[in-house]
Amino acid sequence: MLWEARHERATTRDLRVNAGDVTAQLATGGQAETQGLKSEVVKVALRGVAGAMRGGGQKFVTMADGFLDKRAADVIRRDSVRIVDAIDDVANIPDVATHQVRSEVYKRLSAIMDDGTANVIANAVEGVLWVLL
Amino acid sequence: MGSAVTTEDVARLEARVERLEEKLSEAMGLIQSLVVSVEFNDKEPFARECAVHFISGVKQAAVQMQIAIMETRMKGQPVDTYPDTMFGQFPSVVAAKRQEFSSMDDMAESLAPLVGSRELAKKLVVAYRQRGLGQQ
Repeated sequence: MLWEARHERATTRDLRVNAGDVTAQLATGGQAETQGLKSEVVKVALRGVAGAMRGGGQKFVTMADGFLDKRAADVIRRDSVRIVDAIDDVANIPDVATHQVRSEVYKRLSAIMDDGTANVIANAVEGVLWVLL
Repeated sequence: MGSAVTTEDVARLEARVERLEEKLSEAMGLIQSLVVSVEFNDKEPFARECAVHFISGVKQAAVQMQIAIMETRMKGQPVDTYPDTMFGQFPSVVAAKRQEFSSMDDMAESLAPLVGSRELAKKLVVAYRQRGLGQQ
């Protein structure tokens, strides 16, 4: 069942990028350049994805169902803390852009798991991000 | 006599740099898929098919999303949690939510507008299934 929780219900509304968060971050940063705005939106969305990964990763697994295989889902449930760290790390890249997310997440995950699974999870993170934005 | 650089010139150049950055990142994504698919060959059929046919970034996400939707619809299950605004630039993904699929031909016909041909659409669906995606 796609995006439909088996044990808990989760939808994209759970991860909707909050415009207020972006505005607040821009205000504190003091820059309203287009590139800066885009980057802030990506950062907020990535932190939303990381949030869905916390606490065992079930919410992310549910939302990214169509992007994952069984092994990737098992790795997320088992190793969600280190995957969250990797996503947070990418969110902290200055001026990070949407199209960088997959390769940056992949680079970090391939250091802690096999390349195939790292590729699947990086694709899933990017896929959910595109949906959110 | 040299002319002054205007704000419009700067904006135009910034937009061009941004487009070039996007193209570079897409190329890097393709290289990454190629590396993974070459290294693992038959173990990564979906990454291989996408890389070989230059499908990356948001388009790859849309292809995966549409195949997942079609597989769900093929099992007779609804896909009612997707807002229609999702992947709005890819109408075939939104349309797939409401379609009925009973065969590979149905799926290929639906996916073809997104990937360019029914033949490639079939390859991608087969590769998606071989990789075990959407089957957790």
